Amino acid sequence: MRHRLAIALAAGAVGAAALACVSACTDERPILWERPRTVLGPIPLKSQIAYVDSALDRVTLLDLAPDAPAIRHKSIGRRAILAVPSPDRHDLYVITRGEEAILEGQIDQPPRLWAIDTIDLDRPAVAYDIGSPFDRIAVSPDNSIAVAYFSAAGPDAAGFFRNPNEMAIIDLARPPSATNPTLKTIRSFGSVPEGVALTPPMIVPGDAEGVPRTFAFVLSPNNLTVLDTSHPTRREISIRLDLGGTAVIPREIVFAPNTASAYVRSDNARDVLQVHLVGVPPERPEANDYRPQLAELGAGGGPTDIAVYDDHGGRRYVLASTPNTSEVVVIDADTAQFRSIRVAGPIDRILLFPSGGDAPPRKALFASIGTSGRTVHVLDLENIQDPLTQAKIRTIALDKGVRDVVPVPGRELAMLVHDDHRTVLGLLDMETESTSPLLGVGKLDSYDFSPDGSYLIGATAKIGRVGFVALDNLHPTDFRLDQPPSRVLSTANAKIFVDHGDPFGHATVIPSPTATRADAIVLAGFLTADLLDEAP
Amino acid sequence: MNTTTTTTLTLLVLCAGAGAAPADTANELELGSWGRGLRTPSANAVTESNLGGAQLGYARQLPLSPMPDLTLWAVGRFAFGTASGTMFTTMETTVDYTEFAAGVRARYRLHDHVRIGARADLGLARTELDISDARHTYSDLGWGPTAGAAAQLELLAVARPGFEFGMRLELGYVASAAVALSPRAADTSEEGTIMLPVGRSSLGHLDLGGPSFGLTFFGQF
Repeated sequence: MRHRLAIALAAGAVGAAALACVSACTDERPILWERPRTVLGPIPLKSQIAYVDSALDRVTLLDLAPDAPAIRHKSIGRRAILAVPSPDRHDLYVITRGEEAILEGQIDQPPRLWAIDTIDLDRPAVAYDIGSPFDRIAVSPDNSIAVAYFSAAGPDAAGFFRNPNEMAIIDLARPPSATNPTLKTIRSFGSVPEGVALTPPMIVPGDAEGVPRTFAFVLSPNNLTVLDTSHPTRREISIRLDLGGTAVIPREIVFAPNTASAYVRSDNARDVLQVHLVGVPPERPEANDYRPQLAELGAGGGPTDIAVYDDHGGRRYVLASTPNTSEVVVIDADTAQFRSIRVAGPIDRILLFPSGGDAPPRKALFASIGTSGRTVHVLDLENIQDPLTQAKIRTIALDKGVRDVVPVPGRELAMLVHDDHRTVLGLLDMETESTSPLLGVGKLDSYDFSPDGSYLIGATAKIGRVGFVALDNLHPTDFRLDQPPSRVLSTANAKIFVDHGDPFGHATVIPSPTATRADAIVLAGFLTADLLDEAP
Repeated sequence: MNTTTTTTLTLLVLCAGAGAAPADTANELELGSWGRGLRTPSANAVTESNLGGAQLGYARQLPLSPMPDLTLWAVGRFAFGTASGTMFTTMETTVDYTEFAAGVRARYRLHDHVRIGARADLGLARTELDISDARHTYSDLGWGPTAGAAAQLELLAVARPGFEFGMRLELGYVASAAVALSPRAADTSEEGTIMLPVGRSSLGHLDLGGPSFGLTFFGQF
């Protein structure tokens, strides 16, 4: 009897333990670990490098300012799909798709734009509900306004309806609210946006208030739409670009904020379109208080590239290349007077030197990228507006065709790329107008320039080296890596960041182009740092 | 607790029982399988599976008998197992686990062919984690102490004086210290290469503790 009771007790205990064991062994694993993971980045910021993890819902920031790089994390929403830095590289903007709570562990979260201050990381990321999972974003040059919109393809197959002409206008200077962002659908006339460009703050002539504001220019086939982002509920203004014939596709837009103007270059258009915004008394309180004045600046031959500059007197000029007429055209933007200069070859690339500083450019470089022309042309811009002055255009013959031309920041140098694989390069000195060849050991998969333009930094995916060229004397050096590089970046504090394309995070930080291996450090595992400890 | 300490503890426990033993059976060898539910947050990160493997044990009856039909045994156990899984749909994970443990077991005779018992032991476990995707493989290992306890049910097929053979069913729980891991890629550099200094971020701590299950066959002689 005693034994039977003991057996019953033992069987009961074992059964209870078995139930507990089975229950514990079959608990659901959090769905976090089964989500697809995409790592966006590396994204160069001021002195930091950012990566965005779509599964862990966090931004990893590597601060390269201190000698020992610091790793910080910022939490964001579910399923990041796009990350872009602000124009000044202080902020990072991330669009998260959000999710519907269908499976255990999922949450209902709408699509959001996250604004992250990467300088003051103690400030929480600001989340704006943008309503739709937009996959493109444009940010104004002063970081005050962002416009999220769809690319032509859209982000993914999820969802039921998608309105490709919808966009969210976000005032980044104000906190999220019922009126911020503003969702707006622009009139389309059958086309969808291919790009959005935001102006710098500009005062519309005739505006009684005289307050600088940002305008969005939406580029669509056959249409240009202007939107006052300071008053996003007001109706947009649509500008029809075609005359019913061949589709006119706006490709490029440059702004002249001092004159509240934009210059638009379009495929299949004969001229450069100037859009000059002028103030008008509004017809009713919620009507627009401006209107665009249009002018076709006489390029006359289907411009393939444009560039805009101001001379010493602040007078604005537009340079346009018109291969159909074998000319480049210098247009006075104020008077629409133009001057044509014959140039051999179908020019489709214009660069100005020097650029980026306060001084006006003195020379323009013209190249034929589409046809890989074996010549480039240099035009003196000084006194070019004087019709009595002979235009000084010089042709520089090259050994090989040109596939790309890249300006060196802060220098009067241009890098010439001679083949599709970027193995043969040349450096054009715009002062002496001479070229020097540079030979690489392999395809230049990734390159950057040091912030002051003193070094070209390049890497090839399968070769474990970073190459440097001192642009003062074209002296090449290299730095041996322990792993092949995936991408090379130069930060604003002149450090070189070599990403090795590893899902765990693997990068080499080289303090300067002249540093030795003893000065460098490899960072490993930063994308999965403390992953197990922070598990839900 | 390091390997030396554990080994010493095991030997001490076994030596304590190596003296005079009861007349019927004094030694035991067991061989079987085991499983452990892995549902700590850190284990969930690396695998959706449970840990499972084989174990081999030796026990020696102690010259103590607190009450009739109750015997005490010193036990030593070696277990190894593995669990594999997937992280983020693309990263394959493998956890390899090896454990050395020593402790005591109480065994009570219910019936000629039925015994119940309980086991408690301390041990040391080696945990190795491999994570790989299409292009990379990272791994690291660490050691950590364990403590386990289990209830046991034994069914004897042979129960003769001087020899017993049977099956043991065991349910319990193993507490395991979380092991710090910093997975790294295999070093493929040439011998003698001076590598760049590496600042490696820790993946965190992996805790493989959880409810355990065991099914073994044993022979006592």
